[in-house]
Amino acid sequence: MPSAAVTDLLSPELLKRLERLELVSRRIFRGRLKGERRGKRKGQSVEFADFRSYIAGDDLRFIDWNLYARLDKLFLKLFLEEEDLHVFALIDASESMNFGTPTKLHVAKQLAAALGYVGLCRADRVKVAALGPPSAAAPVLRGRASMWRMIDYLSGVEPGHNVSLSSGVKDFCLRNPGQGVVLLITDLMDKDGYESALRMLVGRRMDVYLLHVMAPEELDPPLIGDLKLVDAEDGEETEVTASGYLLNRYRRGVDSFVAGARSFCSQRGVTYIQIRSDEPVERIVTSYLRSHGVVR
Amino acid sequence: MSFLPVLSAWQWALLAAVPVGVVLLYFLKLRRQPLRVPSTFLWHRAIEDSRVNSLLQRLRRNLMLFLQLLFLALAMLALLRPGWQGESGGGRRLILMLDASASMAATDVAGAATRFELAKQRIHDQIDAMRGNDVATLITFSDRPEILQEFTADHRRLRDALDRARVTHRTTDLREAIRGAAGLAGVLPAGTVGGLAPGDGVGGESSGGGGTEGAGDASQLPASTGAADAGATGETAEPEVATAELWIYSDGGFGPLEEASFGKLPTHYVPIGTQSASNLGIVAFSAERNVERPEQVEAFARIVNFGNQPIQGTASLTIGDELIDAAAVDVEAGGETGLSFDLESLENAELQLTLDIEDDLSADNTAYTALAPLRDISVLLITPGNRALQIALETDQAAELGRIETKPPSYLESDEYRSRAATGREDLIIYDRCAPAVMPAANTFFIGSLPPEHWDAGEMSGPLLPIDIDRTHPIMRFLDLFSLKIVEGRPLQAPPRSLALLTTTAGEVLAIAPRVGSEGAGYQDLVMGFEIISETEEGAAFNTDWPVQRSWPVFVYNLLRHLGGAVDATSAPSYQPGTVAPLRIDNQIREVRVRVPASLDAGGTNATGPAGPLTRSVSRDAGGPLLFPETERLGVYRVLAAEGAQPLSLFTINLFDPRESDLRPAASIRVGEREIVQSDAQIRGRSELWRWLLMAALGMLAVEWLVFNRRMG
Repeated sequence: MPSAAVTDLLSPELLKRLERLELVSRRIFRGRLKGERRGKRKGQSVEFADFRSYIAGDDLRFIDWNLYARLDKLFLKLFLEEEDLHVFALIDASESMNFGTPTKLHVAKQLAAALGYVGLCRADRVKVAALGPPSAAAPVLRGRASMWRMIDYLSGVEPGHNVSLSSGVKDFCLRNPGQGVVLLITDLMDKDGYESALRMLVGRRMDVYLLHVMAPEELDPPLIGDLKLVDAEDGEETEVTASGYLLNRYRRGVDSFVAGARSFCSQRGVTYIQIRSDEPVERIVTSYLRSHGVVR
Repeated sequence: MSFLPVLSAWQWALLAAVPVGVVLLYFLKLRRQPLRVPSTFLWHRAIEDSRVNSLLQRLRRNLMLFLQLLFLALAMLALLRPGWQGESGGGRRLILMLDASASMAATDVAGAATRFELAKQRIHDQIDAMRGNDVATLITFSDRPEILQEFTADHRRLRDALDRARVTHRTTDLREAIRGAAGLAGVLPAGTVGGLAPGDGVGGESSGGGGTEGAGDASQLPASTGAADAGATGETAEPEVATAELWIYSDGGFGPLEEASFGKLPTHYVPIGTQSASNLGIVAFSAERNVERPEQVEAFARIVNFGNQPIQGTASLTIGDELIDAAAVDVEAGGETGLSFDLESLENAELQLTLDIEDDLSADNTAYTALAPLRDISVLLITPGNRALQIALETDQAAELGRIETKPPSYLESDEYRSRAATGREDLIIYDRCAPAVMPAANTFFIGSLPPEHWDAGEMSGPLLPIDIDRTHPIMRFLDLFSLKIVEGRPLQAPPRSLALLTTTAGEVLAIAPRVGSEGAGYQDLVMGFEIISETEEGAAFNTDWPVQRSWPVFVYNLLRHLGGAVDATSAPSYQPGTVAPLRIDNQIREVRVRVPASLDAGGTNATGPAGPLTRSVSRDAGGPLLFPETERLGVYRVLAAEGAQPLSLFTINLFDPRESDLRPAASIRVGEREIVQSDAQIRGRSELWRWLLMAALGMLAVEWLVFNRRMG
């Protein structure tokens, strides 16, 4: 397997640290396989949950015979079943992510890899996918050994899939009907808006984390003079005279955009986390995401 | 509103390309450097006003472009020199005459240091108001005119000439200037302009501070100069007589000009000065030795208040820097007062009288007079024997005046006499009953004989009784001759410009006349038509009883003082500034140096030329008197045989002109039959806008700069 890709996306030191982490879900979802977390569904487990009356057809193995002996009634012992978690890491692979040093897409892939690895280590069901056409080829992973496939997939993700955020999310929702934790890693640079995409995820009762990646060049553009700005995605041209006055207005615009996104998310139970692309992914995961409660 | 475009057609075309270029530069600015960004999404929020990309809206919104175009428009408008002019019409020929006399140094005007400076400002405005095909000439006048600039349409040359103009201490005489101006305007025939030539009227030192640009023959001016000069500047100006105008900038400090005329030449008189000028001036100052006691000196001064207010002050009499005496002066408005100072033991002194007051004209606040040392005169008496005359010449007073030598008539034939007569070593030669073949280079007194030429006499007759005596002449002063008896004598027929001193029943028997002819210029000849002592058959006999009268020695003493030149030794003559001063010194001296005093420049400022004392060398032409023309400065002039020596003689230059001291400007001037009232030069003054436009343009530039910095900062 491409160890170079592993080193590129996740350093061995980070991998060790990630193994001790766990993804936090504020909801308990029903997984398909037993995982390492307590599911909401009661089932075969060692942890008692409740009793209920026997109904014909129930598994006789869960009848509490001691209680039948005392009360002469058939009660079924219910146990909380430990389930696995569905973790989806969605990467915006549009052309706008191909900016910054390192590129925002690279940071997004690192985050996806890191969080995906955390999920794999906890036997969660992990699906790492880039929005747009590559999402079809995204594998469903489980178990630490699947890390290589995940890395392999992420290495193959290239920028340039300029689907809008809403259509990409819609496509994802159609393909993945289950619930779970969604880590949406994007720069939100979508002229059609990000709101419909988030609404769709929230409407699917997903536990949504929005990781908003921004390059320092976007936050504080080092521009001066008369320029013709060319949009990397749709080629739209905008002429500006980059003066102090305009740059101030731009910065104010960015601030209000971020504030708007944060406000939108908080109103809908979406965890908004702003990430600068020039920060090391180790620090982002181990301290930043931890402080925001994404991992613990 | 009229325009005076500064640029030529092709320069305007070049300038018109500038705004086009600015707009083009803005289009070039639209070719911006392309730069890929992740998304223009966020930028759109910042530059909502830039979304509209249509050209017109872009231009409409571009404040800086408009400021730049506005700046250019203002600058171009300024180059058009818009302004208002009271009167239109071109092709005029202006004759600008500027009074440079002493009164123009008065400081009573507002807006300028002196009247002269104010007049220069007015002329400056007049030059600015000239249209493209106007031509003008600039003439200054005091006691003589001076063309500073001939007809030209070139404003710069006119302004340069105006800058060269300097006010003088001279008096005003407009006649020559008017004749010249009329000739320049073509009103008079060209020949009558004689005497007015560029740079004319100035002795060795030009008061204009420099020569005259483009000097030429003024007699050619009326027909040709205007066109020729204007043609040189690219304009064509037909010298039309009808369009010539005369502008006189003066305070009118001159009398009516009855004889002058400039025909129908349109004339404008611009009075300079205020009626409220205050001026206390010394109009006379002299010192006289007491005839009987020459060491005693009496100084007299006459002081006039020419202003509207009474003036009090003090008058200080100084010798050098030493204060000798002072007197209080209190003169009513329009009144005058006299001052006298008695001084003792003055051998050789330069007196200065100063009024310690502040008034509007300083040139007449100081007056000078000088007492030259008594000097020996040389008198040669040629007589066959005249005891009465010899006794009179040997009195103590006469002997103090100089050396008297007596020779017989045969001496006239000697070479020594011819040498003495030709070299002019003698101050006075008395020919008693004899006459030389050629007039000597000296003053002469003929007794009973006639000079060899120009003089004639009638038949001998007698007895003669005095009828009229000219006692005002210095020679005849203090004489009482009505009891005089003359046995016989001949009436004299004197040459022109003679003065009859004694007229008897037979006619003039004593007359004095300046020498006729160029060689004898400056000498005077006194001729007596009767003898004192006649040779009769019985021997010598008195022809008159004059020698036994008391007036006889006085007459001889007067003769020595005045005709011998001793009178010059007692009181230095005073001349007005600008006049040619004759130097009365020993005839044997061929060359002298004249020490010119330090400049108290007109207006009280030492603005021009070296202000300190100067030394000028003057040499005598063959046989003629010494003349000194550089008398611009006020003060005492010393005539020296050599640098550092005692002065041979002194003379003073003083203003002493009530017309110049009277600062009230005349409301009108009278030239011939014409009364020229004052003209308001302001009507013709052109109000220029270009300075304001240029300032507005600079303001636009500053705003544009601010806008740029606010955008880029």
